[in-house]
Order: sequence, then C-alpha cells, then structure tokens
Amino acid sequence: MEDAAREVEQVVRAALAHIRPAAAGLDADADLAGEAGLDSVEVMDMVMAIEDRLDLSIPVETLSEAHTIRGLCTGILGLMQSRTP
Amino acid sequence: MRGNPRVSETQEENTAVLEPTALREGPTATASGIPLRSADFATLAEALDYAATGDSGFNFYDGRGALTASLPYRELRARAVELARRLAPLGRGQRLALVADTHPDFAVMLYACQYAGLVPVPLPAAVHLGGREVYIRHLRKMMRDCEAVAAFAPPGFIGFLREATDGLPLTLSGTMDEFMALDAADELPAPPSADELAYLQYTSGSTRFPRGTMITQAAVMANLKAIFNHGFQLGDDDRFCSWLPYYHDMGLVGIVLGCVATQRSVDYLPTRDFAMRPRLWLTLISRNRCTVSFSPPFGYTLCARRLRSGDAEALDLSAWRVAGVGAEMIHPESLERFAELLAPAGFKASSFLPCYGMAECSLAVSFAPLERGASSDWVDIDALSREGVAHPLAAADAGQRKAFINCGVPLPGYEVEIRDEAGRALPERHCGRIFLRGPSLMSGYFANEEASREVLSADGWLDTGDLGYAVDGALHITGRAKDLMIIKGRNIWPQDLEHLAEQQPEVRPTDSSAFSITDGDDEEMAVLVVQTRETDASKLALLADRLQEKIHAEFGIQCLIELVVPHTLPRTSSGKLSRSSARKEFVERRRHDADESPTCFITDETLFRPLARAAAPELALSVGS
Repeated sequence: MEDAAREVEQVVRAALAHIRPAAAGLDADADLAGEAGLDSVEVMDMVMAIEDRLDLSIPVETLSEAHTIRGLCTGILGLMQSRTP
Repeated sequence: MRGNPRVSETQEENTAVLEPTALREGPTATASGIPLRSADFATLAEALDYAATGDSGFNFYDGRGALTASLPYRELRARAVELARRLAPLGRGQRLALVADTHPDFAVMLYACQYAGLVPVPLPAAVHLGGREVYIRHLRKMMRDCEAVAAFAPPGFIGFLREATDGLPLTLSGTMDEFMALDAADELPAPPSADELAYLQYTSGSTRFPRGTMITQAAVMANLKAIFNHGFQLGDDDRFCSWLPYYHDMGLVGIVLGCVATQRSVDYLPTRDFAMRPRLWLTLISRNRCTVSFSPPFGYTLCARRLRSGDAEALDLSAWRVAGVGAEMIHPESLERFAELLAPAGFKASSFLPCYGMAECSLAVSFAPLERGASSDWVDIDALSREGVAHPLAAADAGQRKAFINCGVPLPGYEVEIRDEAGRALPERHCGRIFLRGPSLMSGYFANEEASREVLSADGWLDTGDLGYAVDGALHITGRAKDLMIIKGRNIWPQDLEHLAEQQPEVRPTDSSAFSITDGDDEEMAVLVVQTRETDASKLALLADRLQEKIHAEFGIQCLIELVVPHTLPRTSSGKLSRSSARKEFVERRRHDADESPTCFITDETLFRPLARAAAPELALSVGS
C-alpha cells in the first residue's frame, strides 16, 4: 500500500515537473493550481501525463476535489484500489 | 472491494444505457440514404423526424480515439419520444436543466424536451482542478435563474448535480435511468409550434449574473437555414467532427442541432479529451474523412503547439473542406502556423472559414466567402486608435500595421449597422459598435427584463457589444465594447475578478480594476490592479498569493496581479473607475519598469514564474478600444 502511495506521488510530481519544473518540490499541502501556477490547459497536460503513466482515467469528480498534491494523490490511490480485483 | 459498490453500480447503469448502441460495429455512415434537406424545417422536432428516416447519426469517441457509442438519428428519435412521454407531465414550457457533457444521454434529453414541449437549458460541464464548490455554486445559480423544474446529468456529473440541487424545489434531479422511471403519459403532447421556445442558452456572461438567452423554434430554424444554405452548403459526402462543448452556441446549435437539421453524421470527441490530446481531433478527421469541423482560434493554436514531427505525414486531412473559425478574436498568425504544419497532411489554408456570431443571434451572423481561407485586411494602427478609421496600409508603407480578419457579409435577412457612440450609423471603414437585426435574435434574457432592454431595442436591434468596421459590407471585428475578456478560450468578466478582489479584507469596494492586455505573442492576458493600504511586503505577497489562488479556483486562469497604493486607479469625472484608463496607465507603469517603484508591488517572475513572459517589457496594448 505504501509503495503504491509513493509511486503515485512520484508520478504526480514528475507530471507537474514536466509542465512547471519549479513546482516539482511544492509542498504536498500547498494549493496546487494557485501555487504551481497552472492554467486550465496545463492542468489537462498534467492529468494526461498521470493517466498515461498509471494507465487509468481520472474522473472529473476526483479532479474537482483535488486542491493539493496530497489531495490529488489520495484521489488517484482511491481509484487504483477500487479497480484492483 | 469495500466502499465501491456505488462506483461499479454507476458503471453498470452507464453500460446498460449504452448497450444497444455500443454493440454496433462501427460509426454511422456518412451517406444518410435520404435526400439531403438543408434545415428547411419549422421546428427542431420536425428536423429530427426527417433525419430519423435515414442512416446517419452521432458517434462518440473516448480519449484513446475508440468509438464508445453510436446513436443513429433513428434511435435518437425513438429514445427521445419514449422519454418525452415521461417528461411531458412536468408541464409545457417548463425548464429542464441539462448538464451538457458530451454524452449520448444529453442528446436524447435535449430532443425529448422538444417532443414533450419542455425548454431544455444546457448547463456547463467543466470543472477546474479543486473547483468542486465553485462549480456547484454556478450550477445552482443557473438552475435558480431559469426556475428549472427538473435537472439531468450524465453519470460522470451526477454527483455535482445532486449537491447543486439540494434543497431546490425540483421534481427530479437525476440520470437518464431515473427520468425513464417516471410515469409515462399515454400519448405525446402536441409538438411545439414555431413561436414556442426551443431552448434557453446561458451566454458567456458573468458567473455571478448568468443570462439565459431565450431562443424560439422559429429563430433557431431561421438561423440554421441561413447557415446551411448561405454560409456553406452541404452535400451527401459531408461529415462533421467536433470537440466543441455542448453548452456553447457553436457546439450546441451549430453542431448538435445543425447536424440533425441537415442529416449529417458527426464524430464527437469530448472537450476534455481534446484538451488533453488535441491531436486526436485531427486523427478522427483523418480516419473518418470528415469534411466539416469548427473551432475557436485557440483550438488551432493548441493543435499546432502539440504536433510532433512525423504527425502531419501520418494524417490525411485532404477531405476537410470547411475548417470553421469563430467565437473569439481571430489572429491570422495562429491559423497560418496550423496550415503550414499540416500542409503535408493535405490540409489547405483555403479551407479556413472565418465566421462571426453570438448566442443572442442563435448562432451565426456572417461567414467569410468559402474556399478563400482567412483573408486579412491590413490597416494603419495609428489611424485606427486615433481616428477610429481603418485605413488600409501596405507592407511597404511607413507606419505600424495590424491585420483584421474578414468575417464576411451578414447572412441574407440580417441587417448590420456600425454605429458611433451617439448611435449614428457610420460609413465603411469606420470603426464602431456593431448592431444587428434579423430573424434569429433571442426573445430576450430569461426573467431579466432590465438586461434584455439594455441590449435589445424596441425596433428589434441587438447591441452586440462588439466593435468592428465593414469593407464592402464584410465585417471585420476589432474588439469588444463590453469589457469581456477571453483568456485561452475562456470568457471572463472583469467585474467578476474585481468582485473577488473586493471580498478580501485588505481591499475595499471599488478598489480594484480588471482588464486584459495583449502580450508579445498576441495572446490575451488578464490583469487585476488592486489598491490596498497594506504596506508590509510579506503581507502584500500573501495577498497576491491568495488572490492568485482564488482566481484560479474560480476561473481556471492565471492573472497578472498588481498591488498599488490608494488613489492610484484613475476615475472618471463622475467618480467611477475607468477600466480603459486603468489599462493605459498600467501599461505605462510597466514600460517604466514598475518593479523599482516603491509604491507598487507586482506579481513577477520571482514570485510566479509563469508570469515572467507577461511581465516582460514588450507589452503591447491591443487596438480597438
């Protein structure tokens, strides 16, 4: 379980770094959109990178609840667990 | 697994609804098998009645380009009629709110409303990262504004809808399955007549004060008929492809309603998937040999940016004969770049079809001539900003020039007048406010007489709020008289940004001014200048930070924020803040390197890297207002 959590956070940070290198080290509880300075197209870029790496589709509901890196990771972990048989 | 039955249940419901269509082998055919009729119907229901006798229809694709469902018009009609018997008891003329996600159920609900005599109200299906609360508030506001009696959302949005309708006096707020479970009336009510409302569409208006344009059957049919007989004509080989959201006029009226009214097959890519993988749009066009596809200029720019080497060679866009461009200011450079990159795929720049329109006119006002591409009128910037006259200026002439796109002459039956500030009609090449009269104008904004009176005169003229000039009757749009900003395809009202700023404890009412500037790349960028008595640098940084965060959550954009001392913002003689003067002074301050001024604190690259470019000194004022 902890491995999965670590992997998700790594993927999320890598996706973020790809779009906004300076934001890679952002605090897990910092406001993601505001502090990382992503516009809506960049957010979709990041989501795509995460979806491709983890091979899953992140529903709008999950994104709408993700204010921070931690929040986004929790949401993604929940999705991964729900599809594990 | 524990905690998940709800999720799998939703998925099952979803599959059950789509099953009959999802099993079909491929997308609907391009050839409808029936004689093409170009939107010559009295109502939307009548248009579907005819389309349902052929083989064409809607096709839905996912983010990997796989067909997830196809909905032939025959089946769309059958399902819509079946559902209409359950909707009819909600009451004729009542509003049914529909979260307009790109999903077959939306199309069924939209047409079921037509057969049931209800007025569908498409609502946005777009949420920002971390924007749940904001989105729910917007949905709720619109549902209250249109006095909806029921509300629908496809499975992916039902959670938002349920929360947004909590406590509202609705008969039902649910998915397709829940609506289908309503008691059915024995027979269908009489079909809507031409003077009844066809739909109510929220304009890109302010998020605090949404405005729903009331469009009658006669109005929308008149516009569709003009578009597909005079804007561009269709043939049996024509097939559409679209990623445009169903809650915008171009996607809803032009594509969803337009394709049914002309019996054309469409391949739909959800807007969200387009935003993630813009190249998929081109892949679908190539694979299905689509001939017609529209986009705001922004979509072409996004595609051009994402193309990788070798992409163009793998695509065949030679069938794409109408590449419509509209919905925001068109900058020729972005189109040129797109055409250049995709020439190896057989894309022809002459396919670009610039057009001009607005939801208040149902959709379209004018189209440029077909097969000529986007043609630019080069004018003297100086003369335009000083005298308001668009003097042609050749490249060899001295002076700075700027190109405006020819958006064509108004469709037959429509009159356009360009007026000065005193309301007098202006001659050709004189820039002024665009007024419009014609058969497809809205009846007004729903339950908002004041706003309706502001834009619609007693003798039937609509104040479009746009600025432009005419050359041989062809419209050239130069900007907006109203203060609407369009940032990366998103409509933002300055008063909404100002309102947000003034909610902060450090900011008093009328202490902020929002406007947009055009950066070095000709892209529009939002600016918010805020007066505050706070002087502590770290507290100022916190305020800028907080504003940035809130603006992002609410509007999904980046905004350049400038904090200034009181009495910096210019006021008119009557004491009102002037956004245009505020903008002028802002640009001046930036030219004089405001970073060194002790009275001014601005978000810049040291704080917000993405803004580094906008903070560069090559800021240019956009011309026209």
